[in-house]
Order: sequence, then C-alpha cells, then structure tokens
Amino acid sequence: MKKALEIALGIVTSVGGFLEIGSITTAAQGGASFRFQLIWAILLGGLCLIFLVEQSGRLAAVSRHTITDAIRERFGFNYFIFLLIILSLVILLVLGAEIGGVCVALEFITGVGFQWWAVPVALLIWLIIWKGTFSFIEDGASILGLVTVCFLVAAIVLHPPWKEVAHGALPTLPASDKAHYWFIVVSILGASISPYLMFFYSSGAVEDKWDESYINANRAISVLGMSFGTVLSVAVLIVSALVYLPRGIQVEHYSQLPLMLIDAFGYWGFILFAASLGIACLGATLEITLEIAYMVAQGFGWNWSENQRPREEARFSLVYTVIIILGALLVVVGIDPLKLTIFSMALTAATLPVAIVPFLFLMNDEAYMHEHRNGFLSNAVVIFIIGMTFVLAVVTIPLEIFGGG
Amino acid sequence: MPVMLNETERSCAKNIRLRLLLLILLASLAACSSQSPADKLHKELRTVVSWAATSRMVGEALQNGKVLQGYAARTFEAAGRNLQEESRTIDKSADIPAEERAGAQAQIARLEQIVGQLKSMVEGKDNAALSQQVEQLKVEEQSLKSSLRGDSSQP
Amino acid sequence: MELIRDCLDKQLIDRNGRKMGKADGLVMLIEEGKRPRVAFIEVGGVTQARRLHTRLAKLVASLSKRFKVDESDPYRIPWSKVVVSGIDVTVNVDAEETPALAWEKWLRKNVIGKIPGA
Repeated sequence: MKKALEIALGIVTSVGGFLEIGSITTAAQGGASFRFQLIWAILLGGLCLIFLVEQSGRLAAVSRHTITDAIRERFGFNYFIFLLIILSLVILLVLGAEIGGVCVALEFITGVGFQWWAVPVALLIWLIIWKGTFSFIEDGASILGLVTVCFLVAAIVLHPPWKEVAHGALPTLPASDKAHYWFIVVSILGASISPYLMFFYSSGAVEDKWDESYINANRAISVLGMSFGTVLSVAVLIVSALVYLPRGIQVEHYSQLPLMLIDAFGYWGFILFAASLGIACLGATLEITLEIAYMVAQGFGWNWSENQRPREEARFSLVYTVIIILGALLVVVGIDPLKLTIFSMALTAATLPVAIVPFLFLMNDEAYMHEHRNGFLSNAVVIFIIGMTFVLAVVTIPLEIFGGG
Repeated sequence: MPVMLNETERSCAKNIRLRLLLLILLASLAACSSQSPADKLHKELRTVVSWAATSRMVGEALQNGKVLQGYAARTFEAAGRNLQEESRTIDKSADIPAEERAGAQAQIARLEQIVGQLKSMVEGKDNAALSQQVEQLKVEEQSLKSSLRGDSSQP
Repeated sequence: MELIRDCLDKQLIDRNGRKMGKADGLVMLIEEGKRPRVAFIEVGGVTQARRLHTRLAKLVASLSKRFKVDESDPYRIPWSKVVVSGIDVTVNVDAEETPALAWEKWLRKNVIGKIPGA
C-alpha cells in the first residue's frame, strides 16, 4: 500500500515537474511555425527520456550510487572533470534560462522588467535550498507544478482537429523553411532529453533511499510520469498551433507567450500562463541548482544530502550558492530569456553524448547492476539515442546559424 | 632523418587537406544560405506581420480586460523596438529593390506610430481611444498579409 | 584484485558510514624481489589536481597552505585500515578526525557557519 502511494506521488511529481521554459518555448515555436507537424519530435524526445530515466532509477536503486558517482568510479577522475566542466557550463545556461522564466512570469504580472527580479528570485531559490529538505522541495514544487495541466485543458477546450493532431505524431517533411524546421526539432529534443533530468532522478532515488525493491515502482513512475508530462508538452504545441499560426504570430519574443491561453480562458488564461511559467521554472531552477551541486559533491566524494543542515555539508552549500549567483548573473545582465532558452536547448542536445555513452557502459556493468543489467531493448534504445545525439551534435551549430530565426 | 621528415610531410599534407575541406564546407554552407532578395524581404515582412498581429491581439485583449496594463505597455514597447529593428534590417539589404524597400519601410513606420500611440495610451491609462488604434492596426496588418500572399504566388 | 578497477576512484566510507571522499590515488610500495603492493590510499585535492596536471597540484597545495586549511601532505590511509566491498571502500577511520575533511571544516568555521540558519 505504501509503495502504491509512493508510486502515485512519484507520478504526480514527474508530471508537475515536467514542463519548464525549454519545453514550453520549443513546443510553442513548433506549433506557431508548423502547426501539428512537430508533434512527433516531442513524442520522440519523451520516449527517449522515459528509457533514460527508468535506467537512471534502476542504477540508483540497485547500486545505491548515483550516475555521477558511478561515472567517476568507473571512468576515473579525469573523465569526471571533463564531464563536469562540459555539463556544468551547458546546464548553467539552462539555469539562467529557467531563472529568466521565473522573472519573466513576474514581469507579466507586475509590469516590472525581468532583470529586476533576478536578485529576489535568486535569493528565494537559495533560501528554499538552504532551509528545505529534499522531499519538501521536490514534492512541493511538483505539486504546485500541477497548475501546468491547464495547457491540456486549454488544448481540449479549443477543439483541435484531432485527426490532424494524430497525423502530427508521424514525422513529415515541411513544405518550406526546412532549416527552421530541423532547428526546432533539435531544440525540442534538447528540451526533452536534458541530462540534468536523468542525473537528478538518480540523485533523488538515492536521497529517497531506494533499493532493489523499488525496481517496479521505478518503472511505473518513469513510464507513467514522463508519458503524462510529454502529453503536456504536446498540449502546449496544440494550443500554440491554434492560437498563433492563424494570426501569423511567430513566437520570437517572450512577451508573445502569455497570449497562448487567452483564447481558451480569457483573463484567467493570462494569469494561468504566468503562474504556470513561474512555478514550472522555479521547480526547474531548484532541480538544476541541486543537480550541479550534486555532480560536484558526488564526483569528489563529499557528504551530500539536501536533508542535512548546511553546516554539515559546507562545501556542498558553498557550491550551490555560487551556482545560483552565476545563474542569476545571466539574467541580471539582461540576456533575453527566450533566446537564452533556445540556445541552451540546442546546446544541450549537442552535449548529450558525453553523458550517455558512459551511461550505456554502466547499465551493463555487473558490479553496479547485478542481475538487473540492461536487456536488449534498453540497450538498443540507448544506442539509438547515442547515434541520434551525435548527429544532433554535428548539425546543431549550422542549424543555429541558418535556422535559428 | 627520413622517418621524421615523412611524418612532418604527412602532417603538413593533412593540414592542407583539412583547410581545403573546411573551405569547401564553408563555401557550400554560404551558398545554401544565400536567399533571393524576394525571399529575404518576405521573411522580414513575416516578422513585421507577426508583431503587428501580436500588438493587435494585445490591444483587443486589453480592451476586453483580458490582460494587465503593465504587460500590455511592455509588449507594445517590445513591438516598437522589434519593428524598428526590422526597418533597419530591410534598409541594410542592398539587394532588395529600392522601391520595395521604401514601401516596406513606410508600412513599418506606420505600424511603429500606431504601436507607439498604443503604448502611451496604456501608460496614461487612456483606454477609450484604444479601439480606434486597434482598428488601424487591423487595417495595416491585413494589407501587409495580402501583399505577402501576393508575393508568394509570384514566381 | 585489480587495484585500478576495484580501488581507485571508489567511494570511501568511514567507520560511521559517512562519506569521506573517493580514493584519489594509490601509493604503491615496490620492494626488491617482492610483488608491488598498495601501501596507502591517498585522498585530497592535491592528489586530484595532480591527475590533471602537476602545476595544478602545486596551485592547490599553495592555496591550501595560504588559507591555513591543511598544512600536511596529501592524506594517506594505510592499507591495513581498508576493506574493499563491492563498489565501495570502507575505511576504519573516523572521517571527522582525518585531514580528509580539512576544507569542509574550514568552510564550516569561516564561511557557511556564519550564515544564519546553517
């Protein structure tokens, strides 16, 4: 019974915590530019994420080690540093985008420019991590994040042509703007398959003290949670297709985003969008900040746990403080949050191989996985993802130049 | 020593081959990216239409109390800025015929004016005259859209 | 036992179950006529830095001395106190009493501990 409740909570937190500025923005751009044609990209990203997250959870449950722990232990200190530097740089950009998302949501409500909110928001994030425990943060942010279900409601209320929507689940080629089309595909995949999501999931599993008895729970949570979350992303695309495309509005500036829910909900649509964006991004900033700090702490072997008092993990506390400051800095200097989002999502896609290649080895390592090593299907999917991400890594830069709008 | 010379020669040849490859790659990429002047104008005008439509949607929403004043003001400001940016981009594109350039810039200037008015009205909390401006926006927007449609039907 | 695979970079856990870093280095004892064996596990920033570049190691060592964090040479754990079990390495010491936590303690005292709510 207790396990069933945990599974339910796990699914709920996965759904509530799924959307953030990357998935919202890329889905909005996809819908506004290509109607329902890009639904397949979101589904593909979601499917890959399901497999990766399930495996991260399994690794943590069986070995009681996180992905970062295992990468250092199995591949050595030098590879860990290489991974840390590359992932941290990219994830830091994503953090800047998410903090920007919270600030932009506050700008929508108050009319005060997003840059002014960077410092107060950073302080809020810091306070929550300083004082909060892991479950408080994770569960709290995700339950509040359920407000994002409003996108699904909006998609239904707007009566899309469901047959056309279903067609969008299959890949089709665009009639024009090919570079732009593929650029959005790359950003959608980068937004869906964020390395920090996998890493954070394994850290969370260890924080929650999962063991081998959680293998089935893990499967349920990862599959159902990520699936429902993916449905929300698709909903954002559908809404955008119905709201922006007929009017000829290209989603190129963050101020165009809140208009998305007005057709469906009027004034409350505007408010709901701001609330959804703000809460979803706040949740993401907490996860990202913690995950970078976890990567550092786990790789160096420090004591780490969100559930301990800061004085008991002084180095860990220092690291996340510095991370928040750096992330906030990106917003304070006025980098456009939308542009930062799209850029960081594409860059994420390009750097995925660095994390996923070692991950494949770990999932087949008997010392870590015992008898729960990857089966043929899981390995096949990861190999496919590696292949796909290498292609993404190569095409991202040219596409950014020619298709980035 | 013969062995070392061969290695130097080999790496030298490799360097040259690599540079040649890079050059070909860059040239082909440049070739792919070069749009016709008509395409370029079309692309910029789509952005202009996008901002016109955004401003109209915000204006109409504001009239019906569906968005907050602060947000509307900032969006009109962003629209104005981006329209200016588009005007500058079109101005710099020497390969677009001067006549078309001038026509586009005139349309953008009119839009800029309307959006500017909307911004001051919102800041001054003068919502009464909004509808007139929003109507004008609609007119400009429709004319731009039909000219875009006309363009795309031409060879 | 394959030393690199089973020992190097593995998580060290002290006698109280507390994490105390990873095995950053191994110090081998090579004697005439005998097989080389591990004498110590080395832990610390200097050892880590040395794996990247020797100059980096010197920088870390001088920082450590400058801030009076840890004046000693890299912390070495005698092999006799080590038990390798699966993917972890248990060490029969108390982490708080070793220099492994030198930076942790310094930060606790001088920075983090001074912020309210710590």
